[in-house]
Amino acid sequence: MACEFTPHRFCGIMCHAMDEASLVTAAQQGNMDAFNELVLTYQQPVYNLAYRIMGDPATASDATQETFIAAYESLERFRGGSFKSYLMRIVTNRCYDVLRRRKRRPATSFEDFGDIDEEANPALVNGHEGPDEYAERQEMAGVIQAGIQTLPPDQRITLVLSDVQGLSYDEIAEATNVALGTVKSRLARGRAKLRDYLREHEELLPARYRLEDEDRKH
Amino acid sequence: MTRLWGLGRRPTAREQRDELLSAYLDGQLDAEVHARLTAQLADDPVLLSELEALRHTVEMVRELPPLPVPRNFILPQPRTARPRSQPAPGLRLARLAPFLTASTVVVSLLFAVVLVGDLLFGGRMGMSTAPLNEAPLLLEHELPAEAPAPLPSAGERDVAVTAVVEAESEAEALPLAVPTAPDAAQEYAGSAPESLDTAESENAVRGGTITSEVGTVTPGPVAAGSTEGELPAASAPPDWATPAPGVVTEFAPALDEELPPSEVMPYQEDSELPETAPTAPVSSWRIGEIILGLASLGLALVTVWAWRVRRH
Repeated sequence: MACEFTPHRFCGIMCHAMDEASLVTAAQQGNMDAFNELVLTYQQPVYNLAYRIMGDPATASDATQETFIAAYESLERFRGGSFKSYLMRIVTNRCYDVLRRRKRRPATSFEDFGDIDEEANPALVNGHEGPDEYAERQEMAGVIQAGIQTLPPDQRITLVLSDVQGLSYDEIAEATNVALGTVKSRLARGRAKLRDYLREHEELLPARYRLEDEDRKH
Repeated sequence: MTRLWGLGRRPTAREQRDELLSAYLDGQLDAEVHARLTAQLADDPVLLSELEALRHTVEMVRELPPLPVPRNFILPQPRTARPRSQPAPGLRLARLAPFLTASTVVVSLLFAVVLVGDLLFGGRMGMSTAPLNEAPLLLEHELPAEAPAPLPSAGERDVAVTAVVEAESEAEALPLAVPTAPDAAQEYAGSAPESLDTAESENAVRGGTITSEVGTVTPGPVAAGSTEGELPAASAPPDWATPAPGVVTEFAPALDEELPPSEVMPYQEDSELPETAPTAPVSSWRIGEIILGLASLGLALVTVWAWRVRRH
């Protein structure tokens, strides 16, 4: 294990550079800095997963913060393995809970009333592309995100875990606590429904992203 | 292929085809099924078109740009400064919920046992509270045989008090006729109490002494009785019968004439009751009931709270 001192990333405090297992062990012993190192490492995938499932930044932020709090409070029960999968399982369950509550009491987010602008969602800004490419990518991302939101929660979560987060079938089965076969079927259904949605809304997609054009190539 | 679909509904042919294509894209089919599907795709342009559309969809999803976090989600120090080995008090209490439940049951059973014990045995074991008005009766039964038993009636007491007051007023009205105090003391000291027969003279002397106090404190026999038990006649100090200068003792015989010892003594016993009658003790059964009842109630409340915390 590396044990050299490095400047702390966010507060300037000198701390040990440790691998994930050591950070987890230190966090389990109450080391705050070690746990926050894990937070900094995994906050982006956790937030991305929450955002793709929930569809709005505010709810995603809340789910992300609650995930890290819950992860810290239940850290004693973590018995090794992938800490990322551990976090993904927690954030998935958080999102499930929110979606269930929404199903019982539907509410409309303020962001449903208008387009997502750059300020509200700076993630869509990429400094390496031109304005046209950026605009096309933003359109594509918006349509896909809208298509993901049409999926049932089970299929949505499975699709995001697989195709956005890149988790394997086994990791998805562990995170969602379902059988491997269920993961396969949910993923296949989700993908097929999203494909059908993109076909139905292909006029919203930039020309180079349209499925029919892709089909015609073959 | 393994049947993968949900419970209670058979997948349609289209769903089966999509599942095959999805697994094909991810390389999740076994070699035999993969080879068969590859051959079928070569012969079926529609199936191939579906596969490409699915592949394109998956690629677009995978191309979604990663979103930067709007802020850091690090936890504040106060929260994380808490040692892991010391959970919050509420959580610690929640862990004790089963133990609290058992304790509540045990204490409640004890409470019930003590309650039943009090009802069944509390009176027999003499531990229940005796009524206060029984104490004079006991004292009366314990009176010596030679002591006159009956208590004076209210009317008789009034007579006695009236006599004392009259004697006092006479003393005030005839100051010159009163013999000197030492003479009176000698007169009565000569008949100082030496036997049971002296009770009368004792009362006479003491009546005279008390008579002097009547004018300043309380009327007659009631106050006289307050020293009865403490100063028996046989052990009285030598100067006990010597009245203080200025004490009016002449009217004591007159008082004794109206208030014979047989009537005074019981009244003296009665007047001692507030001082000598034991305070009725609080039953130990009752104390146990109160303590166990409060403990049961408190434990029940804490147990309910602990289970609620545990469930949340």
